[in-house]
Amino acid sequence: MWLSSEEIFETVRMIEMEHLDVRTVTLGINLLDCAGSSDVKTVATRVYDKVVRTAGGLAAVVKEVSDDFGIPIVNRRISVTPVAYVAAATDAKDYTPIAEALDRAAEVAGVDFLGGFSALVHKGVNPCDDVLISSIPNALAATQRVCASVNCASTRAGINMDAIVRMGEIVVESAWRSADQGGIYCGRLVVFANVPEDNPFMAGAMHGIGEAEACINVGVSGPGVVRATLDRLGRDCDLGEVAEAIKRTSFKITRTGELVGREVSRRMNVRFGIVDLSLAPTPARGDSVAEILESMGLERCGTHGSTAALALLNDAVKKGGAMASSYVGGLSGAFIPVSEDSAMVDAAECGAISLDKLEAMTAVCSVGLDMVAVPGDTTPETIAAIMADEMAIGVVNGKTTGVRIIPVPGRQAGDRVQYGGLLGEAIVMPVNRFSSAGFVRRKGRIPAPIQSLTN
Amino acid sequence: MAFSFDTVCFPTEQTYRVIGPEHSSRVQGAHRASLVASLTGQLAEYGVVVEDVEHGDGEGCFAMVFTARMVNPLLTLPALREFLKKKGAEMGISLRVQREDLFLAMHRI
Repeated sequence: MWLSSEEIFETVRMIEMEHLDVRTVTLGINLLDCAGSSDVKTVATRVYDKVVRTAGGLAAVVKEVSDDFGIPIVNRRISVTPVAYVAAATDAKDYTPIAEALDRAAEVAGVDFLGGFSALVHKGVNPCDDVLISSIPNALAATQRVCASVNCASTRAGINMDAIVRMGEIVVESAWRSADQGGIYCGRLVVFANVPEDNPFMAGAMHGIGEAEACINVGVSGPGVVRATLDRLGRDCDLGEVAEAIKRTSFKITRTGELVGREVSRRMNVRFGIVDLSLAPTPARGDSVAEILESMGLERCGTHGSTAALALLNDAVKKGGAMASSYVGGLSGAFIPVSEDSAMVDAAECGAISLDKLEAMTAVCSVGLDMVAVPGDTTPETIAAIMADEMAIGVVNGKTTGVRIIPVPGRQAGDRVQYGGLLGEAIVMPVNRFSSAGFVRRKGRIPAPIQSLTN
Repeated sequence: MAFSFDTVCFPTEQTYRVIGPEHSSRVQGAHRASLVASLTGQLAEYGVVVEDVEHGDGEGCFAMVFTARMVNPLLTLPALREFLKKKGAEMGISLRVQREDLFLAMHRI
């Protein structure tokens, strides 16, 4: 088939100069068949064996496909059935042995993160959910690769404030358990509303119970390619043209992601799941969602207009991606993690962006308050209230939202915390000094929102 | 320096294209013809049959696109990529190879 020189130039330029890549190939694995024993160690052994058996070839296949296409695949990861289900029949009071088994299996499989130490408690907490939530601080402390998530709200059920209050305490405990590392355990812990069951991105990845035995889910390239497109477009075109350019770019990077994902899926003889359209930044300069907004003309991400710019970006990415693939899923939106986005860190440091503005921006994008550092003396009730606000945005708007928040022990607003690697560095952001304790301590369940009268 | 390519080759079925950045001024006239002859010859020795050649100036440079097929069943794409990198260095140009299906996925609905 004939291809123009321009088309070839464009593809090569995207790979060579604009860092087109596939952000993650995530293998989802069903672990329900590992359940059934009352002995948690037996379940842990079954879990280890199954993950190693299923994911043993993942790293090699991903490398082969990456070499074959000449497209970098940045991360390879694993998601599993929420562990609360897998461990439900055990009589254990702590599911950490299963987390440890998953950690060892992830290491053997050559992946850096594994998601699914999870529970879904949006309407109520059953005994196995209760044990899982209690186990989270121990599990995070005992592992390096395992990520935990808890779904505390949904549009159909409302917001489980009992669970939210509990998670406020778990976050603070996890932070203090890793006080010498800036509370980093919280970087592997997310609280969700409307959690997707096929999300390939960490820390919230899980392999939902509606999923197949195993599947490959793919996260598309990062923000660098989109930003390069806008920089080439210049400052004179109007926002309709900006949206059109993003849409076209999103189409191309989604096609690339699906092509690569389907090839991994074919070689592993595993079903192809979805392409997640999320633009996921990294701490590397130029790989930033905040820089995309600044390329649109904002002096700094976080200033007035940022929510509108992000809404434009998110919508255009979805339109282009939905045209490119019939199997779009996961989170599919722009991520705005603070510590993992260098320009976002800059914006926080110079005061351009605040927690409140971030919250507003999450109303128009996935996935919520992500990798936000707050002072170490922030109370569990305030953390819970921050979560509740974010859950409300997700529940009322029928979208996924999440909170990955780190109360940094011993640090105050304005301090800088280094996490290193993909987690980057964070500026500790101030929280509102007025108490929310009276509200969140009422607990109960905030009812599901009305689905009509939508203004 | 403007970003530019001089030689693009790509192999179908396993069809690819080989690509490289270069100022147009360095690939002109007879030099262009000799490049085609040299590259097609060397690729053939390596088990890659060139089926079509296109060329033109784009983004400020001269580019060639070789549509090629790998006929050596033992040849892998990473090995071909390495071979082209080495040959390109020897010839003072850079050569890249990409599977055709990547271009088609990106640019065709």
